[in-house]
Amino acid sequence: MMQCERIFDVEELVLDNLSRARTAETRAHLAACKSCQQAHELFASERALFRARARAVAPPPRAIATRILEAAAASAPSRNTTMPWTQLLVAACAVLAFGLTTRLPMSFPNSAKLDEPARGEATRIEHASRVTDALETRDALEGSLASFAVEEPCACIPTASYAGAGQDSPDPFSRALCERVVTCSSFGP
Amino acid sequence: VAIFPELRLKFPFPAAVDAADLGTESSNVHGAKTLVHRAAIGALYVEHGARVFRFLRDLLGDAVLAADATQETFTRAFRVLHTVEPGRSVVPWLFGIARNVSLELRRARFRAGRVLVPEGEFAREVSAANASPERALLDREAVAVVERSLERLSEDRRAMLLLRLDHGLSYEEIAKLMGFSLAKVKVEIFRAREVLREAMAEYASDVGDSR
Repeated sequence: MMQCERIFDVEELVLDNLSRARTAETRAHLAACKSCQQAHELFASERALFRARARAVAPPPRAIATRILEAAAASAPSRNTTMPWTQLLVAACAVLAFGLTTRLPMSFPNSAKLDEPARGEATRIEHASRVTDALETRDALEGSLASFAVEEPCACIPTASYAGAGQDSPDPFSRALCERVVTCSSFGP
Repeated sequence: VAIFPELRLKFPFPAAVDAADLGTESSNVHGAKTLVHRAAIGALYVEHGARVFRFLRDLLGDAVLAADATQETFTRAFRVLHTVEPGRSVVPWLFGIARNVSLELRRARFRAGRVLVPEGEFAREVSAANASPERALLDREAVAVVERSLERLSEDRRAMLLLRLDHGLSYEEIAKLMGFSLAKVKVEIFRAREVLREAMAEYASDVGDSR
């Protein structure tokens, strides 16, 4: 018998992998296609077999959960060691901009000029918004999560200074960022 | 945690997080970190632990080894949680880590002179919890049929069949996870299915003969 071209949809239907609209469409097709009905029966019997087996196989020992939680408590998630090249580029630009602003103070002779988004500054702001977005996202999960976000690697400010530098940071940019951190944080000053 | 919207939904995992952590440590950064780390990994485990364990057990053929491999899988997953792209399902990624762990264990065992999954022997305990006698019998029969076919498959083919039929991954996800082309994955799963159907037919004829 010729195989219907919709057979993959029928298979996905059995595995519950289709969207609601596609499911309805495939069901309608199934009602009219003999070849797909046969295939559906076969797929469904296979699926039923594996479902029954999943019920029958003993669950993992309870001790695993405890061991995993202990291991998690002992180790922090690793930092981004393999950054995509775009992120790497943004980070490099941010470091360069930071270096320029600290080495060449004359490039920002007064505070008014700070508001003019120079190219390096724009990169930094972009990076900062990424970091602060992350903070805000995490802040949505109640509790003390903002301090967790403090650990995010950032090219603008050394990681260690995130939590502590707060209000007395010499760099107005990092001060703004740290204020955001403090605002987000539930730890107080 | 912020990466996974689905984890956020599952976030109320604190049943497994000591209440003491909340009371004594949440006032400092270390306590919060610990809490978040444990909640994230806990949520992942609650959601996917049983199936990852079953997958590893099917690949390794040993419950004790599978338990160790499950722990290693989740510990590794936790360390590289940030590498998952936002909005993407964690399931294929998690199974990818699990498979790597199983391959490493396999190689280590092979070097040590011990072979995993002895031919014709897929020893495992069968859970009969909360099942009627009829259902438990049917489930045990299902175990027998599936395992009869799994024993006949190569490691790769077995992994692909399990990922497709037991865990419902798409062909594309399996191809990415295994590092094979989509065409190869479809062919391999097709052949593995033939073996499974053979085992089903053998079982049906055995049952017919015994009646």
